[in-house]
Amino acid sequence: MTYAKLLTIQFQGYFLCRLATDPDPTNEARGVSGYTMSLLGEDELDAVIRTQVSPAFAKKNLREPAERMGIQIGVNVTGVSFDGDSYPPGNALLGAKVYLEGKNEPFDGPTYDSRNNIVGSDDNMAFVVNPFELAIRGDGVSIFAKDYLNPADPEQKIWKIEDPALYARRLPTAFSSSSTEVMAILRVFDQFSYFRDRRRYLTERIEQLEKKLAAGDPGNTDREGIQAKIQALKTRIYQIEFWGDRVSSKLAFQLTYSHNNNGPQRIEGLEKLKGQADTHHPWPVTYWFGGWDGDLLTGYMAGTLGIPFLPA
Amino acid sequence: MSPSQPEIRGPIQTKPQLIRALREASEIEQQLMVIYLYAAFSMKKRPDEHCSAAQFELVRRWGSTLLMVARQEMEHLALVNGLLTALGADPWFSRENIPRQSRYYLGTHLAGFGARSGAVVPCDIPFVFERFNLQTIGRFVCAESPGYDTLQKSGDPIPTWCFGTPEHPCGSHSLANYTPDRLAAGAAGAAVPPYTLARTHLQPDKEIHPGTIQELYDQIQQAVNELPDLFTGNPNQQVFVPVEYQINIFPITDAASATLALELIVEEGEGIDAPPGFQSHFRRFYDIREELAAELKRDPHFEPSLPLPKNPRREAITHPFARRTFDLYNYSYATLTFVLTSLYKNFVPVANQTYPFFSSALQETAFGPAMTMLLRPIAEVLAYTQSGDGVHTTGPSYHLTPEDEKLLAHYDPDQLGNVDFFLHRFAHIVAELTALSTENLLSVARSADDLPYLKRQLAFVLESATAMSNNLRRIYQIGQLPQFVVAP
Repeated sequence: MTYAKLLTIQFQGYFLCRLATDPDPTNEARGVSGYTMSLLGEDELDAVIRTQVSPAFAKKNLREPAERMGIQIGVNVTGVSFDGDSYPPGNALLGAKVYLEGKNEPFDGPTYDSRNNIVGSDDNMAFVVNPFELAIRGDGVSIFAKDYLNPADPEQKIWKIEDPALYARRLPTAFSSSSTEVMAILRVFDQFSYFRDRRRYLTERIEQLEKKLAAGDPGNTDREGIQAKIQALKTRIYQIEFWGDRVSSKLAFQLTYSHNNNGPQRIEGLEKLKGQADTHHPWPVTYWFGGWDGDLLTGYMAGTLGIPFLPA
Repeated sequence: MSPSQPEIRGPIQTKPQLIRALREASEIEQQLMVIYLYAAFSMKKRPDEHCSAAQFELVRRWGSTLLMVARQEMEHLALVNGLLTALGADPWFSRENIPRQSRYYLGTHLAGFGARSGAVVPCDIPFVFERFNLQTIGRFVCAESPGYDTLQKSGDPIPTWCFGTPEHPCGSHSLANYTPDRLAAGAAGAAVPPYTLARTHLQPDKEIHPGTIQELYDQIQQAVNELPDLFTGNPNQQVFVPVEYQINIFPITDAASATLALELIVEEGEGIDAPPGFQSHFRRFYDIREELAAELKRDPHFEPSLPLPKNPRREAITHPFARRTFDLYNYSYATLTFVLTSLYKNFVPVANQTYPFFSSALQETAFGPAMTMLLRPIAEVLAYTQSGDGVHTTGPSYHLTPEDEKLLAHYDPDQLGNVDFFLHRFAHIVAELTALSTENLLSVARSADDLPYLKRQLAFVLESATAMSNNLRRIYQIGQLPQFVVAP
């Protein structure tokens, strides 16, 4: 069945991406010459876009003071409409978690893929999201949509694709380096001050830890841990100062993507949405990434998935 | 001489002489860059028993700075070649192999320029490949240091190990290969350099003598100001790279832009005429050395780098895998110098290009992928690969064969002007990486713990080289790829 009118699912929220940055190679695990690094006690860099994280992962990898700033990783459904109007049955999806799934081997999930100007560019954050497998999981309703880079050869790796037009459709279609939409969401209108405050915070944390060290000997192992923590905080300050604009400017970046999914699409629990969906024709999806904080390794994502739909 | 033309007072009297002086500068910039890269790639990638988690944070901050300085040497190399192109001359990416004693870093020449302080004499600073350690960073400080008198006047810290006195002769810190005899000779002011003296493109019999780097750039600057009708190159042939990664490669089309480039080079290096607080290469290296010295004092067992040999030689690498990887790196590096030579010779702004898009194909290979996705990962594999002598891993020698040097020195349009030449080079690189990927790495890894890293690196660089080769061909056919275009 073909329907012209769309059930539009809106989603947004913070994501986390432990991205190696140019001029580090894109598979750099620790970070040396780029502005991002894997710090003491954290997982290695992997470029995986994480729209949902477990409490354990957040504890290990979500850097201070993200939580105090109100940053909670999680992209969720925030609205559902039909043909531009409200659609109460769609409320069943409100708050549903949005996932980017699949794996870009050897990484354990979908990644920002650029390979430093081979298939995308770190400079303008023009990354291919590889693979693209969007999943929405709510209370009794699950939606899944997949897009292949090369529908004629779904398993083909991006580095083997000879015609760049195939993955060009998965690159951003629009780019803003100073998005007011992003600034409003983050409530940050002065990137310089934002990172100046961050440096001040990190400096204070170092002072606290140094006082702790000076106060007494909590045991050799703990001392070493504190010293390492101090050095890791110094590395964060170093990166913000060393890279300056390359870090701060990206906070207001907004990269917009738009494509029609050419892979499998399905809805489970359709009855909750009270209608019929067309899973045979491509579902249009539009999304943007922005608000990239290269110190916290967090960013913001928002988008819409359109499903050809006929209400009951 | 017409009344409007200034008198030519400098030692460089003619345009051919200026071109030779720029070739001189180009070689030195590239030589500095590769010795910095060698040290940077030797640095540890993770903590171990001789590098705690806290120390590792220091190591990678130093690595970050060292790689930034290497990038700026690359920028200097690019600007010098921009100047050559602006003069209508061929680019110059040829150089002599290392180790070598540069004439510009001979103590006797340095003394003639910047250190007339009686008993204080500057030391020879050889170009050698050495892993990151106190001696190496100390030598880098010397290579970027202003003269002794300049340091005294500026109030900058004085790197005492770069200068000899009767009580403390040269070589005690920076020149590890000096024998006691040579040290004694150095103290007496008659040092015999332990490394082959570098060639010069200048003509000593025409009253031009190699001095210091700053003298060389001063002379070039004077020639730019004084010589008439210099800028005859095509102004649209100037390679331009947007300001990124602390490098600034801009078009040079006249005396003003040439002056800007020359000022930038000496400002970034020695901090000449820089604003107060400026972080020159000299100051950055000096600070790193201070931090390293302090950490070694606190923990004498601290080891920031892997056991790469000094001045790696192919003959000393006995393990076939290591030797093959070593050869592949040098081949890949030579390929990059060919790409750059051809790019500077054939550059066309993107907006002016039509098929064949040779210039874009070269540019998108050179800037970005070749350096970060091909060369560096291979060097990192080498750094974790046993050489076969039971002690060392290894690193690249950046060796250019006589054939390579010939190709770089005499532009041949049938080779460097032909995309097939580059595609054949990349086909060889891909074939070698494919072969290396199937080798049993257990026998060459430093430890079993390194095995996953080595496998992952090799697989990734093979993928990247394959994609780069494909991009080279496709961009040649259809022009710049979509990912490089910033949408409004």
